[in-house]
Amino acid sequence: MTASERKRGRRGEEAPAPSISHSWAQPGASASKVTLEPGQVVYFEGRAELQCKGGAVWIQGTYVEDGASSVCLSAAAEAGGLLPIQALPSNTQVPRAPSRCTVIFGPPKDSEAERPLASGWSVHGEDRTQAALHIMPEWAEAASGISAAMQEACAGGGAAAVTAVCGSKGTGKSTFGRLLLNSLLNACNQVAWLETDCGQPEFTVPGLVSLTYIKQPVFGLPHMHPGLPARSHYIGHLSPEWDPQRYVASVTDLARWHAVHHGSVPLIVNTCGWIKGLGEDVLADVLRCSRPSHVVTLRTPNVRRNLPGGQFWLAQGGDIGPLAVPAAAAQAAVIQLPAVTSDGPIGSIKAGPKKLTANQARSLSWLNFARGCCGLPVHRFSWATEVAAETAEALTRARPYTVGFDSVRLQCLHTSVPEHLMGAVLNGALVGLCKEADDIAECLGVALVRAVDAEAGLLYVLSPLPLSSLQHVNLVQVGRLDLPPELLQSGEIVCPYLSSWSLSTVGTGAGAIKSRNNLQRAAQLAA
Amino acid sequence: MPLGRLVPWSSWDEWERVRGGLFSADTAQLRRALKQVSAWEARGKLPLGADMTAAIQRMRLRDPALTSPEQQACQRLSAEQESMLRMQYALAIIRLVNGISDSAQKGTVAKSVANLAETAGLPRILVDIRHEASHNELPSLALLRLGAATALAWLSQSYWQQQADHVTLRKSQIHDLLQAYVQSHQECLGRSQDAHGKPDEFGNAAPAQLDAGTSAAEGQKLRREILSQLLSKVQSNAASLVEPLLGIGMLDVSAACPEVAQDTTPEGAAAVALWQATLKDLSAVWPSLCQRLLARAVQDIAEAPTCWKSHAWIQLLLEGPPHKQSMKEGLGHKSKRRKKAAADCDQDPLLTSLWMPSKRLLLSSLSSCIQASASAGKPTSEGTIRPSALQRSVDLILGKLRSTALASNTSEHLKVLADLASTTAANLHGSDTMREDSDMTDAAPHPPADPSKAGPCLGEAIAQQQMLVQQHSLTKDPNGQRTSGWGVAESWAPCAIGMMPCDKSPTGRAPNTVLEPTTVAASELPQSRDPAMQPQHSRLAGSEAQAASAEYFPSERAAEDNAFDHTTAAQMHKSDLATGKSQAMEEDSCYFSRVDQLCAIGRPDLSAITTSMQVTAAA
Repeated sequence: MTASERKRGRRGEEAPAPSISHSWAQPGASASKVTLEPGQVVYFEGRAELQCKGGAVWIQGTYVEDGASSVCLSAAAEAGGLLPIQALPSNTQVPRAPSRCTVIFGPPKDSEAERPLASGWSVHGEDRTQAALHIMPEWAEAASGISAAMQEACAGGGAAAVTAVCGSKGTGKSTFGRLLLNSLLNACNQVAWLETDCGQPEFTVPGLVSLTYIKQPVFGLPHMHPGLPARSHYIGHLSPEWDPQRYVASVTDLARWHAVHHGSVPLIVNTCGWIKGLGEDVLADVLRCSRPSHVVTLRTPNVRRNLPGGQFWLAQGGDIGPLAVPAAAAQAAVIQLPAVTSDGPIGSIKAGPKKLTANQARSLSWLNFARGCCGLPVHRFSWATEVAAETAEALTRARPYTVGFDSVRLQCLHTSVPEHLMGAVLNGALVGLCKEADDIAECLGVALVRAVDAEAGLLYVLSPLPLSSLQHVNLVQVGRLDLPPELLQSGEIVCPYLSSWSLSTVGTGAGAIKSRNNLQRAAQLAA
Repeated sequence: MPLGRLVPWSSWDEWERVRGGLFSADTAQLRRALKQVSAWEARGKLPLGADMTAAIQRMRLRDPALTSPEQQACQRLSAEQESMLRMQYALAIIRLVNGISDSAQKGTVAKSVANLAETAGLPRILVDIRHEASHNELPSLALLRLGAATALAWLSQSYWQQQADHVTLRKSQIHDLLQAYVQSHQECLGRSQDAHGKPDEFGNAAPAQLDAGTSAAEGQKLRREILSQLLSKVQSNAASLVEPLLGIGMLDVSAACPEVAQDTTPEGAAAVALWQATLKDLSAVWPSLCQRLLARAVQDIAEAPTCWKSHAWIQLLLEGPPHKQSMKEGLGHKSKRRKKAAADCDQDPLLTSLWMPSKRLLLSSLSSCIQASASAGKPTSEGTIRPSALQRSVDLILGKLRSTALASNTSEHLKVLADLASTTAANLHGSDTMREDSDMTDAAPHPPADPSKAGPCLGEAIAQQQMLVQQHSLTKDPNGQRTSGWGVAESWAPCAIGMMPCDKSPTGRAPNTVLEPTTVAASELPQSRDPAMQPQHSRLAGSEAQAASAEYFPSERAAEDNAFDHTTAAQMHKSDLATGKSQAMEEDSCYFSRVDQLCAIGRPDLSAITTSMQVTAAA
């Protein structure tokens, strides 16, 4: 949003500032209307289905016009920020832009299940602008440009349309990816999303690389829109560093699978924020095997946190991957965009919404995973103690699936374990449920081994998957993933691996080995 | 409640066993401990102290100088071996020093490793070795061995001993706080008794309400303070309260038990009042406490011959204080006040609303008691009162079951259980018919732990029982058949993640996680180099796990029950062979272990139990 646009937005405010709220529990009124002046922006919070009457709005890449099918919005102030809804100004080149538009909010179709937890939605005026997630105009421009080019490539049927989004941690890769995804969905039926960031995946729980086909625009943080991947591989760690070769092989398999089965669907590749040292090599391999037509690099003012310019992934040796991807003919357009910095988008409103840490975002993903295991509805808001407590309680009660040790192979991904102690490793652990194949095991889903009973020869497993899918599982892979401790304790029912009698970790060796990477050197300070 | 820290061990006993193994002179024990540490490592969150101790101790198995120093075997090391050992020692020391100093890095500016190591009390030699090994020539094997020994000593003291002390400290803090808490109650009760000037009476069941003096208010304030401190130490670990209350005998309630003191004495009344006051407040904070106490009391009485006093606990937990009865029966004259006190007692919410023992808990307690009384001998023999205490417990639990199970289909079942209990009693009192019966069945000589080898009538009964359960079970899932493929658990009760459901504890029981080599599907070969060691390893490890589960939650020893039967029977077989008693005893033991099984099998459907019990009884 440029300064001039914002001005227009303010002018629009001369009409009464729209600030409404609506609760699903409220009897009677099931929908609320807001009329927007052209260019006016309102800020949405909660969860609702949006329709547009007479006019059009732009929501993070998605155009909603008069008569178009409704879109489902999710936003939380403490998790990702409010969602700006902008009525299109009449002078921009968009199809049909009448002077005013009316936006109708209604309860989402699946709201029944969420009623006890979610209150509904509210729409705010300019007063909440600081709590909103703003999209830089450069980004919006780039996203629409790339999506147009990708559509053209898809329509031509020649080269594959693949865009990779790269950048350091916290530069907004996911946000830009979502923006591009929504932009593409304005014209395409579906868009493929290749998730290679196993620390904070967009549509699955952490620890997976996956390929998901998306048909509806997505808003908000990953936990607000869990998706079912078409194919995935279990990495078992939050970073590719433990086994880079296996990681690259997994990503390569997904990229190849996409090319074979859905080659004409535009693909977005979301990458890890680990871009230094080995991370850069791994990223180069990911880019080489996914053969992007466009690469978006997000650049920070700090040059040391940036990727090299040009087609850097072709320049390096990059021999991690099992197959040498021919570099020839792979000419990609590199688009450099400013990153979202902690100071807020350049030239825009200063303080954005408070960002969740990676750990908090993961906790929310795990929360929804656990809710899926117990048949509870998805939680699309910020972390709440009561929701965690409810989920932890349901986890202790949920009736698990069982499987005999003799019908699945147990595999520890990162270290060799004495065979008879494998049960001790699996007990209470998060595992990947996999289907073993000749080359690489496909992951069908993630599960929690809630107990191992060697006497009965059974694993007791909690998983959101239906029993019919589990019948294909013949390999259980264990990595190093943990549920947030809040989910392991429900009142007096406490997981035995949660210990409250541990020594302080300072200088005693009672904690796991861990170095800090944010220390300054005295010599540097003196200089 | 605050959350604990994730650790790779499932109990401090497991941790303590690994500690013992790591510092053990016995190589087999050391190997076992090292394997456990590698399992911990796979789980993640392995403390640096344990990691580095294991790393250094692994060298003990490789460095000939450490295994047999007297032979000067180091002289015969090949150059390759020596360079390997130097690398391994050096890396362990580098990681130890770096890890310890990194854990102490606070603030924004890095402090020097030497500074941090000194603060942590790390010997200077280790810091020097780290520096040399990282930046200069690799230190000599002699120096590295010295360093490793120093490091081991430091780890033993600064990690293992400190952590063990910390756990002990926490336990003793809980013990002391609980003691202070009970004492405060006791003082308060004593004061109120004095205030009434009638120490020989027992109408003081609710003294807090009767005594409104300032000292009582102070006492209440003090108790509230203690309780909040206790909460901060115990947190949600209600199991840590059971041992001080029951095991150590902080609250001695045996005086209140009619078996010991035939008539209710003032001491008994005081003990009950104290018991009630203490438990009421504690179970408001830890609602599972009563359940845990009952389970522990039953376990004590069933398994430990010296703990027969626990049946006073069973009585109090199941029936509440005996005031009402004694007041009505034992005393002719009743003052109004006493009447009121009795009424208060009747309506005491502790036993009615706060805690209702679950049917599952009662059934499993019953089977433990019946089973124990089968092997306890006759009440009159050798003057022991344990058998009668057991018999009394059986009656108490039966009575409670009878009063809680009001559904029509359970009454018949209860009748059978009652028959069974009286059969036990008859048997204990030396009925010869029982022995003759068992002589007639042509059971194998050593059958007790194995249902398939039990007498034919019993076998039939079990088969019929299982058929009935299958027929009657409404929750049966078509996919839940006991095949080894994927299915849904047939039944489930809430328990913690990493635990199995258990009738006796809301947390559940620790499962045996040690896989037998045969239970694992196609996998790599066992890692042990010595094939002869393998069976021994798994057996030892298995018993370790059983011990682990038993120690983590002491009142649950299901895994050991069968073994217990077996050994008991075997011992009896040896000692009583001459007198010819053994056959009968073995049969009894076998019979009653069936009771346990039947109770367990029949839980989903009580009518099924009934039928099979009748079959068994008929047999």
